[in-house]
Amino acid sequence: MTLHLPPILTYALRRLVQAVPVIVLIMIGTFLLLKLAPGDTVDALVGDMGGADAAYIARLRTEYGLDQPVWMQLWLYMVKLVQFDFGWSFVYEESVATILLERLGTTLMLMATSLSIAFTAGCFLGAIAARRAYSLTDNIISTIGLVFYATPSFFLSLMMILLFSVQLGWLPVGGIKTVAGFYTGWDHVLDVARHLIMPTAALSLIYLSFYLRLMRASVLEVADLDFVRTARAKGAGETRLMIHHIMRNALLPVITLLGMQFSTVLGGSVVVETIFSLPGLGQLAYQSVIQRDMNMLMGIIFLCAIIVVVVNFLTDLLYARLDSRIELA
Amino acid sequence: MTHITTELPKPEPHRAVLLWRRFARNRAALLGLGIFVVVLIMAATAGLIEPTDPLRRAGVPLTKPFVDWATPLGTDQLGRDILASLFYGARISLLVGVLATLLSIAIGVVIGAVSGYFGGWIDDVLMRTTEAFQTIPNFVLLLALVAILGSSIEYITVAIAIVSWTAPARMVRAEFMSLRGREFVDAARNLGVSNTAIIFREILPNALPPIVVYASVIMALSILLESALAFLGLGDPNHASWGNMIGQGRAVLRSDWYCAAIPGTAIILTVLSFSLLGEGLNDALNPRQKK
Repeated sequence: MTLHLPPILTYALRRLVQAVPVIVLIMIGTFLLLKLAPGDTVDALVGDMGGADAAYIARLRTEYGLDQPVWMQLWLYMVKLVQFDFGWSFVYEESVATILLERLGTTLMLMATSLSIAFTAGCFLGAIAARRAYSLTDNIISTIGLVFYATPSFFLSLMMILLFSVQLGWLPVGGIKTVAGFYTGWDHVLDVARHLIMPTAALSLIYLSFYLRLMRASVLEVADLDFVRTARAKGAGETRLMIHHIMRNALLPVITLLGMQFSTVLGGSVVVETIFSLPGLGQLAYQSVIQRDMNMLMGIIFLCAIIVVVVNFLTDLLYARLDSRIELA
Repeated sequence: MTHITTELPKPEPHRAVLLWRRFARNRAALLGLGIFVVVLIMAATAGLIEPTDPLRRAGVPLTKPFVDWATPLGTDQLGRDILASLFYGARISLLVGVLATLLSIAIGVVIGAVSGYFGGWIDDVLMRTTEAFQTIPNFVLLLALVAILGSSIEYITVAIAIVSWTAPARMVRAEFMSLRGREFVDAARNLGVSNTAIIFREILPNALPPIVVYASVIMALSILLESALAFLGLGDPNHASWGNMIGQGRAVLRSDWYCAAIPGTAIILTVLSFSLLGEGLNDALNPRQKK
């Protein structure tokens, strides 16, 4: 086992090095977006102070490096980003990084639970549909998958609120915890969990359909390959065949999708967090657009990009471990 | 009298007929086509249903559906006719969907083709750029673009295209990488055909079928993206849009849920129709592919 470690490490290092130009490009991208947006930091600052004389504005511009040539500004911006300095939010009167850190936990919790549910259930249902391809079971599963794939997350969320909060009164309409609840310990955990059921279910159901469809196609393809026939000829039972031979190989493209889809799911959380008033990054992104808080919005883009790069890196490693055909060296 | 048999074997049916037969074999695809045609008719006849303005007051606010025949699907809290909004919304959804899809595929084809055909450092630069776009959550980037450009329908369409071109670019690149080494490309190159002509006239037609199928996916996603923007109140306020109707309907969800449910059903059916159409197109264009 120790012999296996070095190649995995070199592979990991190589993948990390490949991520560097992508992150640099994203830095340049957010810089350009900030330049395109009307007004700069000093405009915001002056507006915040309620106006200032021209000499003071000029001094502020020098202080913030805004009198420098564009490429120099870009360099200064990138140096700041590397140190996780995303600038100042004039809406919150607080550094962007501080607000982002406050909001990060909620979003990560929502993402982690929804994606685990979507991935597990999607793969499971997809495998069942493929094993009984073109049967009634398959038709039902595939149709449900297609319908959820076509349903906008905000509409699904609203209909869930209508059913479970308005009609049945089982679940809270929104928020992360009961406002005047003051729960502690396990009661607090249960209270938060109750608030997360609907947003998690909405995201899971929508993304489940992606994994379901891919898993079904993947299992159908793998089941026809030679090594499956060989294993069957050697007397492997259908269950063993499914778990050890088919699933293991059919999962590979689905894991790739899990990494690639992560950024889409993060984007989808904007709508769901906004509807359920969850204080996460997605709701913050929406509020930043409404309040024209461009520093905050760019901070969110950059932070999300870093999260996606990390998740992609982890799925790559997982893929490399599962697929022996990948050369690690 | 001698009878000369001049019977030839039956001529091969026209290519379009063949494609249609393969497409029509898929029942679900026919259903998709049917829904699509209905949405198309809705978009085309919107002006007949409501000649002036779908956003005007047409009746008593919050009339339930099937009560007043002047407003068959009822009215929202501002007294706007839901049926008229639904028809005009079909126009916006299809317009944004089609234009954003064409634009994103055009961007994707150019970037993917150049990347896959030339390879080397050009490929490196373009692929890192593609990865950068894929790394940023598409809806957050869309929000940023709309915040900067403004939310008129033209800018929304462009912004949707900007966040959707990466997948077609990767597909075109993969096709080009496998096709560029083929004999017919070598032959064209030996005849002195220019790179541009080889890319667009020799390789591209062979790389198109999977792209055409994928277009239905982008179309569906574009409609969903536009409706999500409009739902959040960031769409074009001058046009009736399904997403916006749902956003407005949210305020009266408790008492008059039909205000949100009717446009919501329209979005689901429309997006569903593109998924089904895509499967049919796949059957027609890639018949050798398994099921």
